[in-house]
Amino acid sequence: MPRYLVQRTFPDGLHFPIDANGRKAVSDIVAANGQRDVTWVHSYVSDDDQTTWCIYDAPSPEAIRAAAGATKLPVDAIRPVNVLDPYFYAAER
Amino acid sequence: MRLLERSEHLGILTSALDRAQRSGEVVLVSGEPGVGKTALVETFCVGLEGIRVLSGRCDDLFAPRPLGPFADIARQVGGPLRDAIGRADPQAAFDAFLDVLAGDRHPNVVVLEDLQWADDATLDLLRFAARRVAQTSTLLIGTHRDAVPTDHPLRRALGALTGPNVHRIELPPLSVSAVHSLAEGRQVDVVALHEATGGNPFFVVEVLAAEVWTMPTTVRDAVLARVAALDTGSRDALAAVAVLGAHASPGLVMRVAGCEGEAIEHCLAAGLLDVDGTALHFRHEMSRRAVEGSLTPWRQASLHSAALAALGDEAGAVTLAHHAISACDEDAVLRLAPRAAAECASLGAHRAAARLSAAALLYAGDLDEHQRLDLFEAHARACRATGDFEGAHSSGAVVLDLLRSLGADQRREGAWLSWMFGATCGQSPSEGTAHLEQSFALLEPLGDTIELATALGQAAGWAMVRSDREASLAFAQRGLPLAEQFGDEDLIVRFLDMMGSARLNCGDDGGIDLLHDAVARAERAGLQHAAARACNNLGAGFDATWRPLDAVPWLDRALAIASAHEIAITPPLVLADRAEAQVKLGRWDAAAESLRLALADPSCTEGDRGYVAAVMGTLRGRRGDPGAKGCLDQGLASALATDLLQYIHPVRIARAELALLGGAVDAAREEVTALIDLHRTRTEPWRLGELALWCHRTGTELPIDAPIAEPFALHVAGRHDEAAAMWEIRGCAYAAADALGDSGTEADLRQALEILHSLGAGPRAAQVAGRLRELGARMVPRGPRSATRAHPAGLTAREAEVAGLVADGLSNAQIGRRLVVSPKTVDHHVSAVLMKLRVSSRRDVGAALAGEPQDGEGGGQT
Repeated sequence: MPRYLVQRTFPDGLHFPIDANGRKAVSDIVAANGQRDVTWVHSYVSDDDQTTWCIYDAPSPEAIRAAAGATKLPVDAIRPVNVLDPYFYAAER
Repeated sequence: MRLLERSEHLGILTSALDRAQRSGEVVLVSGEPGVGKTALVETFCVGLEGIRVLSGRCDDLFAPRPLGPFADIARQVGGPLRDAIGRADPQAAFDAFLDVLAGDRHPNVVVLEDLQWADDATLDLLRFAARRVAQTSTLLIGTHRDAVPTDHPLRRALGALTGPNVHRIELPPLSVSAVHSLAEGRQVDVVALHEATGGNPFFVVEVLAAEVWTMPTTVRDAVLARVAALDTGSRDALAAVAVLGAHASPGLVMRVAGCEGEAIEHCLAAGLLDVDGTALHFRHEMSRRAVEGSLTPWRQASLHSAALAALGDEAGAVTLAHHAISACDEDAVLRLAPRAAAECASLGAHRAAARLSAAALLYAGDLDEHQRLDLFEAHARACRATGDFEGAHSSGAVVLDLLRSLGADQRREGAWLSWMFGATCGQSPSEGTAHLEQSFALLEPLGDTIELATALGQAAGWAMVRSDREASLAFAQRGLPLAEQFGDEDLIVRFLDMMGSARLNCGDDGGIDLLHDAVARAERAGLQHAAARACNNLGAGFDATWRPLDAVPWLDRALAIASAHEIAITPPLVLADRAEAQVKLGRWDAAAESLRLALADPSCTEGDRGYVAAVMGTLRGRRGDPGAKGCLDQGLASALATDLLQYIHPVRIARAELALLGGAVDAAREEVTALIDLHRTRTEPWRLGELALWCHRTGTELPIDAPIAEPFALHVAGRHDEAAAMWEIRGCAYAAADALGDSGTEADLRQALEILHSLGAGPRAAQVAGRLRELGARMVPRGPRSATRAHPAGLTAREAEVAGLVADGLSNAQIGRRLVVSPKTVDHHVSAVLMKLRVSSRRDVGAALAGEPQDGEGGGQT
C-alpha cells in the first residue's frame, strides 16, 4: 500500500485537547479512515499549530480525500513518499 | 442425522434468521462435495417453527432445466409463480418470486442448492432477488461447490452478491476427533481413515458403511464396494435411479430397470437410496456419479432409452432431451432438443439453449435443407446471446449458405445478413460491413419492410459507435418512418435515440426533444434497456456540450433504471460519464466517488478501466494529486485502441492540460498536434472550441475553419471575464477560473485564485498566484481564507454579503450602490454565489442559504 505525505493548514490552529473529547476526536478520525482502508501513521505539527504534515498509508489519494471529507479535515497537498530509514543500514554491519 | 463440528455454522444461520425477521439476509454455503452443505441446511431447517421453508435445487443434466430450482419452489407455492414459469415468462417469474418472498410478511427461509449447476436464468433471478431481499423478512440460503472456475457465470453472480446482509460460510472437512466420533465402537484406524478421506464426512460415512478390509482410495471405490454387496435386482434399481437423476418414482424405476419392488426396498434398507415424498434419490450426488460411472456406455445408453420411453411429456422437454442425447437416439434428439433449446432461450437460459442446439446439430446431417436451416439458426442465435462469437459466426455462415442455395426468400436472407452484421461487426468489422451492404442490396428493391428498418437500425448504431454522426443521422432518418409504419416500438425508440444523440452532440439542441421522446416512449413500452440508454445519451450529450448541470440528473436516472431492472447497461461507463460532468462542476469529491464505484462494479471491463483512468487522471492533475500521469497514460492507450474521437479527444486534452500545469509546453503541443489530424474529418463546435483554446495556449496553428463554441472563442479572443461569466452560468467552475487565470487584470486573477482555492486546484492556483506576484500585486492569498472555510458553502465574506442581499430581493444595481462597488463586480460575485450554492437562479439563493439540500450530489447510485 503506498505511503503519502499529506499537508494540512489550520488557519485557526489545530487543537486536540488532552481529555475524553480529544480521544474521541482522534478515534473518530481513525474510524473514518478505516472505512476507506486508510491508515494514519503519525503527524508532525508546526510550532504555531497551523500546519501539519501527516504520514498516511492508503490505497489512493482519493481515499485520503474521502476520509478527510468525512472528518472535515483540510487537505492542501498529497505527495507519494518512500521511507528512508538509517536503521536499515545499521543491521548490515 | 448427527452433525459434528457444525455448531458455529448453525449459529451463523440462526443469527442470520433472527436478523432477517427485520431485514432479509443472504447466506452462501460453500465447500467441497460431500462436506455436508445439504446436511447443514437440512438440519437447520428442521424444527424451525412458524417459518415457511421453500427449497429448490439445480441439477446436473446435459443442460439444466431453466429456472429449475424456482420451478421446484413453484410446485410448493403454486399460484402466479407456477403460472409464470409454465408460460416461460421470465419477467413475470421474477416479479412473482419477489411477491413470494415479501408477500405475507411472515418470515421465510428459501434454499437454493447446488448453484454450480445453475442455468443463466436462475443466476439472473438469484442476483435480482438477493439485491431486494433486505426489504423482506426472508433468509435466502444458497449452496455451491467451492471449486468454481474463474470464467464460470456463477463466479460473476457471486461477485455481485455483496453488502452487509450477505454472509458466507465455508464448510471445512472434519477433524480427526470428529472422525473418531463417527467411527465410535468400530475397529478402525481413525488416523488412517482421516488421512484417506481428507476428513470428508460423506467419504468417511461411506467407508464405515462399506465394512471393507482395505481402505478405499476414492469415494467412488467406497460407494461401489457397498453396491457390490447387493443382489442383481437391487443393482439394476440403483443403475436406473442413477440414470433418471432427480424425482424418480418407484414405479418409474421398476419400469426402467425391469426389477421388482423388493429391489428398491433393499436399496433403501442398505442406506444407498433415500426417499423424499414419492421420489427416490441417492443419498448424495457423488454416489449417483459413482454408480453411473460404473455402468458401461452401452448400458447407460440403453437405460436412458428406457427412461425416455417410460417418461411422459410432463417431465419437460429439457429432461427428455437430456435422456435422448445420452441415449444417442437420433430421432428423439431431433424431435426434442430443438424444443428444449427454444424453451431455454425464451427463459433467458442461453448457455443451455446453445448446448441443446449444438447437440441437435450433431444429427442434422441427414435432414433436408429447411430443417437444417432452422437448427443452425437456433444455434447461431443462442451462441450470440452467450457471447460465443465463433459459434455464432460459423453457424451463421451455414445459415447464409443454406438461404442462398434455397434461393427463394430474399427478405429472410436480407434480414439474416443484417443479423450477421450485428453478430460479427465487433470481431471483424470489414466482414460485418460487407454483410450489411449485401443486406441493403437485397432489401432495398423490395420496398418498405420491417427487415429493412432493422438493417437500418444496425447501420445507424454502428455509425454512432464510430462517431460518424452524419451517417448515423442519415440511416436513422430513413429508418424512422419505416419503423413507425410497422409500429416497432423498439426500433422507433432506437432511431429517435440516435437522431437525438447525433444532433445534440453536434450542438443542435433539437436533439434534446428527440431524446426526451425516446425516453418517454421507451418507458411507456416497458423497454427498460432502451430507456436507460437514451437517458445515458442525453446525459453524455449534455456533458459533451458543456452543460454538466443538466447532464448529472440524466445520468443518475440511467443508473437508477439499470439498478432497478437488473439490466446490463454497463454502470461503469455511465458512472465515468457522470464523473466527467462532476469534474467540470467542481464537485470533485463526488467525481472521485463516481469513479470508485465504476472501478468496483463487477462488470467493469479493461476498456472501461481505461476510460475511468482518463477521467481520474484529469481530476488528479487538477488537484495536484500523485498518479495523474500514470492514469492518463493508461487512458490514452485505451482510447487509441478504440480509434474513436469521442475517447481520444478528452484524454489528449487532459494530457495537454497536465503538461501545461507542469510548464511543459512542448509536450502539450504534441498532444494538441496529434488531435488536429483527428479533427480534420469531423468537427463540432465544442470539441473544436476546446482544441482551439489549447492551440492558442501552446502557440499551435489550428488549420480548421469551422465554427467554435462561444465561451472558447471569447477566451481565445482575450475576453476572459466574459468567457468566465458564460462558464459560470453553466456551472463549469474550473473552466471559469481557468479562463480568468489567463487574464492580465489583477481583479480577474484574484477572482480566479479564489475559485481555484475553494476547489482545491493546487497547481493552477500556484500558476495564477505567480502571475499576480509578477504584476506586483501584494497580499496574494496562499489558500482559502479562513472565512471561506468557515462558510459551509465556501463563500467568501464578500460573497456571503452579496448572497444575503440577493436573498432579500435586491437587484445587482441596488447591491452595487449598497456596497459601493461596480455592477460588473456585483455580477461576478452573484455568479460565484450561484455556482457555490449550486443553484441556477436568484430565487433559490435564500433557500440555499437556509441550508436546504440543493441536489442529489451524494455520489452513490439512487
